[in-house]
Amino acid sequence: MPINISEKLPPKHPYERHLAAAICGDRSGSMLGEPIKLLNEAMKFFGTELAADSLSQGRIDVTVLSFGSDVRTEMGFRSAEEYQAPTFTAGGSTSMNQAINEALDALEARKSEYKSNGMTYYRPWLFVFTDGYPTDSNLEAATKARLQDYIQRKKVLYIPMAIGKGADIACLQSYYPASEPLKPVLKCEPSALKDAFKWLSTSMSATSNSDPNLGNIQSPPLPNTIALGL
Amino acid sequence: MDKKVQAMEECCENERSALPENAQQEAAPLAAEMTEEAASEERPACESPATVEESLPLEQETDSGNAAAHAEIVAVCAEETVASDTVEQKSPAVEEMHHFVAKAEVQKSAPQLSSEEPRETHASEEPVQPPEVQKPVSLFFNGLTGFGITQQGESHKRKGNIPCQDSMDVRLLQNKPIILCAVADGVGECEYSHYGSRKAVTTVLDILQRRLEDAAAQETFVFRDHARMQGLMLEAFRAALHAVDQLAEEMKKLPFSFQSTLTAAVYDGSQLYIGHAGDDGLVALAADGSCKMLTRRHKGEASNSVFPLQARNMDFIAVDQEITAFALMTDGVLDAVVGNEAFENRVYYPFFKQLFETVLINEVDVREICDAMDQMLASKEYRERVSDDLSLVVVTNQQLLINSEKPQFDAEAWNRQTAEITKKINAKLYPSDPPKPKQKRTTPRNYVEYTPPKIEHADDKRTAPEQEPAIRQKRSTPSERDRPDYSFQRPGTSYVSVSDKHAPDPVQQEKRPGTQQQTEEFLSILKTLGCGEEIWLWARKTIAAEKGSLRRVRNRAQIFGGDALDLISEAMRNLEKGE
Repeated sequence: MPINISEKLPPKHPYERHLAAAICGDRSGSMLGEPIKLLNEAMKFFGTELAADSLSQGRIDVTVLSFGSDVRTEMGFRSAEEYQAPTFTAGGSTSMNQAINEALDALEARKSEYKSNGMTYYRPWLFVFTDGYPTDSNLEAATKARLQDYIQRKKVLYIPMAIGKGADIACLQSYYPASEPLKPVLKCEPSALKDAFKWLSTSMSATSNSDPNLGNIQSPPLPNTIALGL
Repeated sequence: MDKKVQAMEECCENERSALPENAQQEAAPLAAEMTEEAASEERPACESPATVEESLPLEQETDSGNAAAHAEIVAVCAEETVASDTVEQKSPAVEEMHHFVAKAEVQKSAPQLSSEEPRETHASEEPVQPPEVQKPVSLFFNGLTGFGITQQGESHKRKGNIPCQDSMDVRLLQNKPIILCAVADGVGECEYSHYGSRKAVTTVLDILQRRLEDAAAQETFVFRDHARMQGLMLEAFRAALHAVDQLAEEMKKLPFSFQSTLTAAVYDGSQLYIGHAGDDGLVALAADGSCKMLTRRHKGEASNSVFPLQARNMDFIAVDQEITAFALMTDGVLDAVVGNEAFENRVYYPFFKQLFETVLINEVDVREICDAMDQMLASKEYRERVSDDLSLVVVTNQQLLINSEKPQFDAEAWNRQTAEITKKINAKLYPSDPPKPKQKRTTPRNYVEYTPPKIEHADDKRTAPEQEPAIRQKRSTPSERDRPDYSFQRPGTSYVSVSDKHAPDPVQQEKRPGTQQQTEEFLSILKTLGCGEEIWLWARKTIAAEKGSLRRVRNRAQIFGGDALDLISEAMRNLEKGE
């Protein structure tokens, strides 16, 4: 009797595994002028990049927070295709610690939503960029402890980026746990923000289409305009 | 479930306590000898040499399979061996069965992890061999078919050839048409879980096989007694747990590295019993035409976490319906064809249709379908989807299947349901009314887990919030400078400084410029001193951040050192002179 086995598998549905990413952007007074304009352009460009990538649709969820003297959730979690680029207005101090805390809260809340809906997810991303130095030092110790703990327990992937020469790389590195052998920080000039966001979108797409069982993901190479501080 | 398990445990305890105490103790050391004797006596007793050869691997497995490790289990085994000794002749039905058993290699190639030889003397001399990759198994008897496949996943091949951590086995009882099968998935993080999964499968099947064969021989067969059967399953699972621990001890490794899931099934052609721990699954086709997953996935919060056998979170299920066919899978197969909880554990029937509805009339057919499935699971299309190790065991009763109802799969309804569920999930994940942007600054939040160390200062002036310009002006009026004013402090909030570095110096505080005018003066002096734009911008931002305290700006400039610090210090001096 001829046995016929055809490959009969259910149609693959896109809503299988989600990648939540929180983008924390600096809109303090030092970004005034050209930098904030370039940043706003880059954020718009990021949206078009995300929407153009058919592979990342239904997999990537992005939220955008901005910090100056206060912290604003510019956009709650949206899917890649529904991303709406926020427009930042520069001014005020640099409440980066509070922003990191709020971003971590948002990511935790998102994860529990995935869980309650029975969805699987990748390790969420926290992308922080600043051109200076956090000024809310009253929250610094607590935020560092929290983020270091999250990184150590692999609860979040921390990607810091320093814009321009005024940014303090050592400060951004200090949010990594001391045990981390490499503490990578991206460095770029305001003019290269577009490249940075393009890289971010392609990396997110690569991750969201990877199989976590296959080990570390080969992220796309950094463009020439972005340096890596270790 | 807990109550059920407890009840079963009590039931087992009662059974054991029914044995005389001395019998239990005496039986233990004798067990090994007795089983070996039984084996050697039985072999020549068989008449047909061909049959003997066919059935030998089975018998050896039966006799030497169990580790007889646990005192209780050993006692039970001993009791059983005595019982089997009393069976002198096999019934014609059993003889006939041996003709039909087509058992492909597996038992021969299986590692002898469960060697019966005394460990005390041989353990140090003969290290335990790593398990080889299992070959497919197939068997056929009187319309009962069964086959099993295990394959190494792509992820394991790529990550430096991690061994296949899945194990499976399918067996047929020698004296009853009953199929036993089990699958186990070694926990990925555990280094020796391939040993653990193999050991769990062999032990659980050894115990079930012995107990059922002997019960059949003694004519005390209680297959339809659900409670007894569930109790037996519990006992087999406990034995597996213990055997895995013993193996770890024998190999001098941590028991943690041997963790695996375990799901076993016993089937007589219609009645099905399941023992289950972990994220494997069993999908069964009932005679009324319903096809569903009968187990639940024991998973933790994270998507890739699992409660293995060692978590002792076990289900023992006696299925009430008449079952015509079932498939036992590890997550490598299960997750590809059965939806997750969000998708209501939907079973994709076209996959199972080819397994359950293909008519198989002899052992050649079974071997063919086994090979075809083996190829399909190794195919590129399947491997693109699944990178994990995978195991699949399929058991059918062809006689029942011919006349039973079959599910009708409706692809349109399936897609419609997918769209509905997706829509429902999306409505939750992406609400149409997105959260409004927060405009107001919130007070520093009190994160319970990460409260900074509280260092109280004698001078609490620093603890006052300095946010609103109106308040700052009030503070800077000369009449009120002499003593601190706490009138603006909000009730119920406490502001605590974190570091001594920022402790206010009362003298400096008196002197600090603090006003907008002074700040502007300072910045213009900086410019006249030939300060670069970067430093100037930084200084402006930092003055704003430090609420006009130039001293603190200078402190911060220390991290730059060099020119920046000199410039700022000089500007400060100039400012003071100017005054």
